[in-house]
Amino acid sequence: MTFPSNDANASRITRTIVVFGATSAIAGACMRRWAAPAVRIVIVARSAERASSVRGDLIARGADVPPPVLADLTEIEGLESIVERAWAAAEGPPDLILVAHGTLPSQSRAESDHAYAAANWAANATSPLLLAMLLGRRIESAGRGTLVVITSVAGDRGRRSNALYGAAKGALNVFLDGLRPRLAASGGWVMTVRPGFVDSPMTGELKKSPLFASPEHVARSIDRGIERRSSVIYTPALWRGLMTTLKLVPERLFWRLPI
Amino acid sequence: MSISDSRRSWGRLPSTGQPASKRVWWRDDPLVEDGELFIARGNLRSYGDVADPVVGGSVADLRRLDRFISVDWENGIVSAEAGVILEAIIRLALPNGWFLPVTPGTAHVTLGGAIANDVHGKNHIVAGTFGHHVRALSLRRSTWADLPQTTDRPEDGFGARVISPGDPLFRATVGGLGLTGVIMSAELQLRRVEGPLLDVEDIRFRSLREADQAFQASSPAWEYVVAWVDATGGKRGRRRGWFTRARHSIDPGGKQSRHPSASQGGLALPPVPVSLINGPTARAFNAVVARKSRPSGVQTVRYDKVLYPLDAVGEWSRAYGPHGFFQHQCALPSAGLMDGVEAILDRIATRSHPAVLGVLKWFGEIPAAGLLSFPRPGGSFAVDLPNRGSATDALLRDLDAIVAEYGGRLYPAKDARMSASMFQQGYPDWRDLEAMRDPQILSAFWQRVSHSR
Repeated sequence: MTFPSNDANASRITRTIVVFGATSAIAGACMRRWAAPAVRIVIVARSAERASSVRGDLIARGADVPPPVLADLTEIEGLESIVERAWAAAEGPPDLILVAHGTLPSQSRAESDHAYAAANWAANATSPLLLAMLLGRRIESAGRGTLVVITSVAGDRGRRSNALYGAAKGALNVFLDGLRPRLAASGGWVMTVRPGFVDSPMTGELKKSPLFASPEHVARSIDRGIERRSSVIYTPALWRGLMTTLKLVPERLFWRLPI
Repeated sequence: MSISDSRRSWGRLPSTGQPASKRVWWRDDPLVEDGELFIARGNLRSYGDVADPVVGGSVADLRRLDRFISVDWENGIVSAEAGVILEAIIRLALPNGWFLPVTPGTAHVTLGGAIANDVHGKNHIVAGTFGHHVRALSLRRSTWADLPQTTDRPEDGFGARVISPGDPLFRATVGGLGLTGVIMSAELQLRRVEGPLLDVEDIRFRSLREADQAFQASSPAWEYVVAWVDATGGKRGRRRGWFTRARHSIDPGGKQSRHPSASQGGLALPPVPVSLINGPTARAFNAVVARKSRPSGVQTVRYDKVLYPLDAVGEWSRAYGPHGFFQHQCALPSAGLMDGVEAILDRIATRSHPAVLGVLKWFGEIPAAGLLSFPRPGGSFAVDLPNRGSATDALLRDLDAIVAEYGGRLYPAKDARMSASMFQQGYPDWRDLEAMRDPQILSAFWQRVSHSR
C-alpha cells in the first residue's frame, strides 16, 4: 500500500488552519469539510497512529497537511512550546484555529478519586483555557485569526450527574466571553461552540437517544457560525432555547429532573 | 438529527429489537466484548439478515471507520478504511479522472460491504465483480490458528493482517459475508473515465426474446446493460419493459465539464403507516418504469442518473410500509435464463401477488472472485415483493423451487428467508467457507443456512 504524498498539495496555500485535539470526532468532521487543495491543516494530537490516520484522510481529500504536531495538551508547562511548533508547521499566522480536545469523566469516580478528578480538570479546564490565552496573544499580535473553542451545554448550568465536566466547560465559557472583546478589538475573533449530546467516541458509554447529533451536524453549525461571526453557538440549535429554559428552573425542581 | 431511525436492514422487515452494537471509530479499536459472537455491519443496505447478529450476539458497527488511507491518481489506486462509502470514493475519484470499476445499484454501500457481498453491477460481462478489483485487504480475526498458511499475511500495524489475491483466505473473504474476519481496510483499483457522463439509450421491448436480442446487439460495446421488466400483467412470450444500455462518454476535446457530483437525495420518504405498494399501485409503478420519460435515441447524462436511479429518493424502501418487502434475486445459468424468468413471472401472476420492478441482468464468463460469489455465466433476475405474510412466503418458496429446477441460486445480500437446503445446493463450496470462518463471528443468515452455532 502506498504512502500519502503531500508534495502535490503543497502549492500556493490560501487558507491555514490549526486544530488542537485533531483526533476528536467533531474536529474530524470539521477538517473534512475544510480539506481542499490550497488549504493547509496543522494537526495537533497525542496519538501518533491516530494523527497519522487523520492526516492520510485529509491529504487524500486534497489538503496540505504537514507531519502532525504530537503533543499531550494536558501538560500545562509544555503548552507554549506546543503552540510554537504548531505555528512553525503552519508557516505563518493561521486563519482559523480550532480547540477541540476534552474527555468526559465519570462523575462518580471523580467524586472519590482525587487524582482522577485533578487530571480531568487539567484536561478539560486548565489546558484549553490556558491554551486559548496563548492563542489569543498570538491572534492579537498578528491582528487576525478566528479562534473556535468547543465547550458544551453542560457549562450553562451545573448538574449533579456531570458537575466536574460542566464546571470545566463553564469556566471555559466565561473565559472566552472575556477574550472575545479583546480579540475583536485587534482584528481577530473568538467563537464558543456549545454542543449538546454528540455521537462520538467520547459519549461511547452513554445510551444514545434521538437527541444525539452527528459530528457532521456540529461541523456544519460551526461553519455557519464562522461565516456569521457568531459569538456563541449552540448545536443543534434547539439547545439554545432548551438551556435558556433550564437555567430558569428553580433549584429544587431542577435537582429532581432526570438529567 | 441522525440517530433516530432504528437500524433495520434495507427490507425493513419487522425486527425483534435492537442488537447490542459497538461503534468502531479507529482501526485499532476493539470490535466486540470478549467472547461474544458478533457480525460486522456497514451501511445496512443489504435486504435481509446477512448483517444481523444471532440471538444474544452483537454488531460491530464499522460505519464510522471511514477514512481514506492513501490515493494514487497516477495509477487509480485508492486505499481506504472499510466504512468508506462508495459514493465518497466516486466524489474523490471523478475529478481526477477515475471511477469505480464495478458498482452496485446504490452507491451507499461501504467498501467492506461491497467486498463481503462481492457486489456486481450492470457491467459484469466486461468487469466481473467488485472483488476482481481489490488489490489487497486488511482482515482482523480473533485467531489465525487452524488456517492453512499458504501465503504471506503481513501485519498492517493496526491489529489486522494484509490478505492478497492468491490466498485462499482472500477468495473466502470476497463474498464471504463478513464471516472470515472483519475487513478493516482495502486497496481498490479504479478505472479511467473522461468525466462524469454516460451515453445511455433505452430500447423498449415487448418480449424477453426482444430483450435478449437487444442485449446481443449491445454487449460488450455498451459496457452497462440491464433490462427493466414489467412484473405485472403480460404472459409468456409477451413481457414488456425497457432495455437500457450505457457506456462512459468519450470526450476527446475535454468538453465534459466537471459536473458536481450528485448531492444526497433531496426528497426522503418519511415512514408511512400503510404500504403504498398494493396491486394497482404496483401496476402503475411498473407502467411508469415501462414508459420511461426519456426520449428515444442516445442521451448523455450524469452517471448517477443511470447507475443509481433509486439513490435520488432517500430511504425509498419506506414506501413499503411497516411490514417491509422481500427481494427475490436469483442467478440462472445461460441455458435456462429466459425460460426461468418466464417461469418466475408466470408464478407471480398465478398467485396474484403484487410485484414492482423485475430487473434482468446478464453475467459473463469471468470466473468468480470469491467462494460464495453470486454471479455465474448467464444472468440474474430480481423482483421486489411487498411482505403480505404467508402469501408471500408461499410464493417465495415456489420461486425457490423454480430457481433450483433451473440450476440457479439466490443472492445472500438480498435474502431474509432462504432455506438451508436452498442455500447449500446453490453454493456447494459453502463448507470451505465454514472451515475458514472466524469462530467468534456468526450472522443470523449463516446460522440459518448452515446450521452453525
